[in-house]
Amino acid sequence: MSWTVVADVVAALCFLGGSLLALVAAVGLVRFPDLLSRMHAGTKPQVLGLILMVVGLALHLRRAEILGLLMLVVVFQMITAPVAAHMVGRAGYRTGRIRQDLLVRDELTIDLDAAHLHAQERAASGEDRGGHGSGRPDPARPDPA
Amino acid sequence: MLSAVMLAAAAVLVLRRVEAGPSVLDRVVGMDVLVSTILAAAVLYAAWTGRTDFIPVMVVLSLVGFVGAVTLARFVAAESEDEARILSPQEVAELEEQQTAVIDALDSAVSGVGDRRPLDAETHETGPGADEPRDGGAR
Repeated sequence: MSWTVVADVVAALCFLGGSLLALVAAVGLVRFPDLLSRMHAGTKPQVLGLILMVVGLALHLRRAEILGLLMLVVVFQMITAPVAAHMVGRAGYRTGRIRQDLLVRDELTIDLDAAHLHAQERAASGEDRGGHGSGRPDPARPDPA
Repeated sequence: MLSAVMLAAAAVLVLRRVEAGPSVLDRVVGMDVLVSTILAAAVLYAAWTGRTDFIPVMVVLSLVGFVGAVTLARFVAAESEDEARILSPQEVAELEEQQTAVIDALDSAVSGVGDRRPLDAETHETGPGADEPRDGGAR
């Protein structure tokens, strides 16, 4: 058994794994109840599935000149997928599309409430001292947008 | 072959979510997964035919696929539960009836006003250019 046969078998396994991840993500996307869990399911083929498919392609074609482009595919996807996921999750939280009853732990809401309280206390004490610090922009205040 | 079947099934399921998704963001997540499914299909096609000219297409897809998600997520706004749902045909008919009633009322009011006096008589107080003389034919 030569090494090309081994490479082809490994490539086929990689293709099967990547496609299986895409299928699992689709099933999760249909069945999961809210935005965050759907995002969790959708991330699988975006990074791991794509890496598996690209490794399979590299093992199947076995040509040196395509390796750079395949690396670029993976690197671009690993750069852009977190940006998109961050923006979607942020927009979902800010427009109230996160189901609070499904969250095990919600540290962002706790932090935001604490920051509100802190800002109010600081504003009150600043008025007592003659308005010191009231002109500064408050970093603890959440962005209203 | 089995991989192609699994990818097709995944694409169909993702399309179901994109169609049914209760909010815009669910659809955005679905479209992201659809893009990565298409990427996987392109990889499979390149491996099947041995063509390497699909690989630049994959580079572009992986680079551009997130633009739509970021744009939609940036401009998505809070909407109430009532605005987000799709109206039933009966509600659409009621809404259209209300709108035509309002338009009819406006039409009759405007034509009644136009019959009684010329329009520049009432634009005198309001408009900034109201003191310019108008000819009677202008609305």
